[in-house]
Amino acid sequence: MSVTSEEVRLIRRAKRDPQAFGELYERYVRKIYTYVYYRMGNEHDAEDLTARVFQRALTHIDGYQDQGLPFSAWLYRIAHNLVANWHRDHSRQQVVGLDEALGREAGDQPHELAEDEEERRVLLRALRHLPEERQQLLILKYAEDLSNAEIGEIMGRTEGAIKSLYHRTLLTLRDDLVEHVEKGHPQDGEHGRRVEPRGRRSS
Amino acid sequence: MKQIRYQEARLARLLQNSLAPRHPRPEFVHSLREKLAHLTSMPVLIEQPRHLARSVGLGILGLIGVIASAFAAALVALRFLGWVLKSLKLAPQDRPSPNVPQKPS
Repeated sequence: MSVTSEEVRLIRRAKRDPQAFGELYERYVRKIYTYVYYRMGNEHDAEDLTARVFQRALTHIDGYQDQGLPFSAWLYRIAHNLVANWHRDHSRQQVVGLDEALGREAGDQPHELAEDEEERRVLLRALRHLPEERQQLLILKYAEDLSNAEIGEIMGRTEGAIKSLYHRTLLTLRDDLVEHVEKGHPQDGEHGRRVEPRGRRSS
Repeated sequence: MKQIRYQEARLARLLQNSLAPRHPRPEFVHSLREKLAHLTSMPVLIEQPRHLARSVGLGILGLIGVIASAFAAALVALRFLGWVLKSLKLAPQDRPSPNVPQKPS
């Protein structure tokens, strides 16, 4: 995902030509939406924040300085900050649309399918309780299909640090899931139920 | 150790399946594109109303300051000019009023 000369030229052009910014928008809107979606957990907030990311990018592109990083790194950083601000401002309670995140309605399904859905629902819930940085890592790795080196570029860390953080994150997730099973699924409830975010922010 | 590796691999697979790329609604993509195009046509007026208002306010204050300074400077200059002319006796002197003979009562 290293920055290409073509992209550098496009960014330069986008500073004075709205058409060029439109090209950048087309190129990245789906990626940013996916990232924001998994951080927010519902379509409505994901659309709202995606729009804000591109509006902010548009107003600040004059001040964008090429540091050899891909343009997407800058967009992800804007998205990350906006999502963090959103959660800070709405920290009392948040609605988690888990069914929406699963991409299908929970209804009458064969037993195995229902179990899979349940597992994924629990996993996504556990993911959203991780510190922000770890959520970002997992979303970039799996939803955006980026390598550790590319994630490092975006998050301002070395590839080794990302690898280490990834393993620690998997262990935390595994422990959370084991705890969930041992407690006998205490938090499962209706769709879109309200949960208290733990607010762990450090890694 | 083997079991931990197995669990990690299973978790990774589960993450892979759960975090599929999402596709925004086409209407949303379209409407945001239009909104951005509209913003680029007059970014200052729409995106930075506060900055604009502040700049205009400061401009007006500055203008008032400049006019007031110029007026004060002009007053001082006129007074100075009057004093110089008076010193050089070039200024019109006050003449005594001519004596008008009084009529006898």
